[in-house]
Amino acid sequence: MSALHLTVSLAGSGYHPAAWRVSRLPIGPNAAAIQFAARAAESGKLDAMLLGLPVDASAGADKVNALPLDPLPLLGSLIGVTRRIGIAAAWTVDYTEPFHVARVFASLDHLSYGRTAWIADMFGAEALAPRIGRPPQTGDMAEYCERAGEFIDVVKKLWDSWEDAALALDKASGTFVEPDRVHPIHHEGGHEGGHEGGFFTVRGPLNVPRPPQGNPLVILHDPTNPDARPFAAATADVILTSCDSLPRARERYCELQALASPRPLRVLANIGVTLGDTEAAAQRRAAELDAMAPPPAGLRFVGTPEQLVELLGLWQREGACDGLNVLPAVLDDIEPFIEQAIPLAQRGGLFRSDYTGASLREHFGLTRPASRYEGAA
Amino acid sequence: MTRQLHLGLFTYPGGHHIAGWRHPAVNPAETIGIDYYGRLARTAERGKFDLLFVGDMLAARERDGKVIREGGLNNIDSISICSAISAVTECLGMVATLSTTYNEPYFIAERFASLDHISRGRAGWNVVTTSNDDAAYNFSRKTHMEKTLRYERAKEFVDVCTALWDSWDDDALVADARSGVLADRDKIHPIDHRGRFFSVRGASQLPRPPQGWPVLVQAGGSPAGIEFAAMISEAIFAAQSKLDEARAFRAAVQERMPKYGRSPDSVKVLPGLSPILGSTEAEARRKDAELDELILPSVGVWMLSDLMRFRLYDYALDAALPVDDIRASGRAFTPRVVSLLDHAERVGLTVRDCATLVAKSRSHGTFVGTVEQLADHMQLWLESGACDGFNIMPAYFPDELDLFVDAAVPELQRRGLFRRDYAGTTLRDHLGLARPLPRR
Repeated sequence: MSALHLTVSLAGSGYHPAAWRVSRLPIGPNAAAIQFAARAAESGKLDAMLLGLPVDASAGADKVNALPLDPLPLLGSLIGVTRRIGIAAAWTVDYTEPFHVARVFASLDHLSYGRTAWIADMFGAEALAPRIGRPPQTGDMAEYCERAGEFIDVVKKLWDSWEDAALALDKASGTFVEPDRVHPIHHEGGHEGGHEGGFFTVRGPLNVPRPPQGNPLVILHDPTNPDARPFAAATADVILTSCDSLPRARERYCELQALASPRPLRVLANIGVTLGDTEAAAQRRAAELDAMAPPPAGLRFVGTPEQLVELLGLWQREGACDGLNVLPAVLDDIEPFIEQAIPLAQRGGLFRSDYTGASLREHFGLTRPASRYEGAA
Repeated sequence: MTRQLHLGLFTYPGGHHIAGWRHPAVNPAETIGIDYYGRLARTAERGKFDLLFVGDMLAARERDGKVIREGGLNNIDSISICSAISAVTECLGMVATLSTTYNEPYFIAERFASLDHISRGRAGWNVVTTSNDDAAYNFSRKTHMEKTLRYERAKEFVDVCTALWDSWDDDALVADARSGVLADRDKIHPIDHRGRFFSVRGASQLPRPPQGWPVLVQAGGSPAGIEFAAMISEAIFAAQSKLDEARAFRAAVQERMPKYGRSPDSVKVLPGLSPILGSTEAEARRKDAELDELILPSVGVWMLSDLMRFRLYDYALDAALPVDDIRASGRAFTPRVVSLLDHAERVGLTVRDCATLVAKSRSHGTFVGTVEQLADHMQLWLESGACDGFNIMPAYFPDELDLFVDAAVPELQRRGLFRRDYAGTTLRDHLGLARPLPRR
């Protein structure tokens, strides 16, 4: 049986809209609560922590219930307080430029010595449009995926534009960089306001050496529209699924792996988690939260740390996923999750007792890709 | 109390001297991770610096279509560096550089608001319009936007950002768990900006930043840059290397400020300064000469050509700099170039001399001497009204920074020219800048 992968999504006071009303962690748009949770997640040897919610069109419409910090500076701030755990942050492909995304994630990957992943947020253009002041760049789903695919492809080309050996650092000859090992990408899809069979025209190269992971991981949310699923499976290193039962999750898992094959893909199932010392206590806690605000959609676990470990084991045995992404309803639940559930999972051999690799790719058992320009003239 | 200096640390991989990475004390392989930047930041904080400053480039530095072989010119993202060091420092301010030409104001406003929240009020934004024409080719543009237009866009861009930062009243965050009111909607005011470049509707998703606005920094010295600085800048990273030029620049900015309703003391001008220190003047000169010997002529000539926008590759290294040819090329020269050309003509510099000059400090001010001499120099500039402090650009890291912090800072403190400890917690506190009132 393959290794179980575990990640945790960290947001504000937690994922339940009423989380801030019961959390004992600092409330407000500061990094303190997230930094606390990050240290805990690393002590539990989790693969990664995930930052940033998908753009929610309804957010802030009538009531403020979250204070969402920009995931990118948040990721940066977690680099300095952790050493081993992976860190992923969301950045939309809408209204932004592949050069920025490639450069920022290459930078974060260098700063963290290879621990980063980009959650490529899609399908958020409608919600962003008023704040940007331009209509979304694409029309139907097929065109949207085409643009997103080109976007991600350009990002990866830029990450590859410096061969690994480009950084010579030879003091004697004064050669910092081998110019012949740094390649313009000459991507020609289209210009701003013009569509020439594509959407982006980017000359490159990047002005940052190749990231430690070669390519930082690309994480996608499983698209709700099945037409976009082949695109996601062909593009992502990791896909986050949101299924409401084990049989559905297994079905989706098989579908995605079949679409991805032979590419290696890790599929993680999202699961909202509310913990308590007893099942009754956990139920009371969930009911208390739900009375204050309707819970977020998706699969939800309410119970004890022991019961959560049973569920993790079951999902793995049943082949429903490669791992789970835990969304604590209240961020404080990171503590019983890490201090009680994880040691049980470790004792049972379900989860790693320590990191064996240095990079996030290694945590996920994914090999480091060679640059596509390796040896190119 | 006498006016005191403000100090920034300008970080750069390896060092600001183009050949700094070749110095025996530098390990160039270790100049890109959090351990490197964290160490520099903590050293600056130990030296009670106001801030750490990070520049930005949106294209690789090239010569005839190939990246530059000789220099430590990898250029990692400034917000990433600043956010990473925010978690390993307590007081130090951090200024990240971001272009208004290749970004959307909504995203940038939220990014800097987040950095200010994460760092508890220590963020600054160096507003640039990107002068590198090549950037256009990385952003699906056929041409780089023309300068006047870039500054027009920058003004509107900053306007939108400040409006978004002001969209929450300072007391809009309620966080009353009992009633379930996180934020008072009546105190959140969506903006409806419709301008020449941007249309932005909505409010920030975040409370007003701890500093009201992150400190607005600017670095251009052209007439358009000076006007822009007078309008928005609270700190200026200046490039003048001569005292009289620096004084004239500072005066030019300050005299334009009243027409924008601003007091001349609400801007802090920090010229770049690259000090090379020795326990004797002779030792400092020897260090300086050793570093200069590490400069390959090819990289110096490239940097000079790039700065002057004039190809010097075919000119003899030891011939006089072809000042007339360069002037006749009719490029729009920055004040930095005009000053360098005048100097070269006056002193009779060769191509090699000029190349070395540009390569060793990227044509910012340099100083070679003892700690006492450096303190004299800094004191003279401060007291002459040429600056409010300096953006320190060590020739190589970390040794030259350590030396500055361990030797020069105590001397400045002894003279009463620099703080012995932080008096406040925010970058505005350090710089003595008022927290802006919401503009509604």
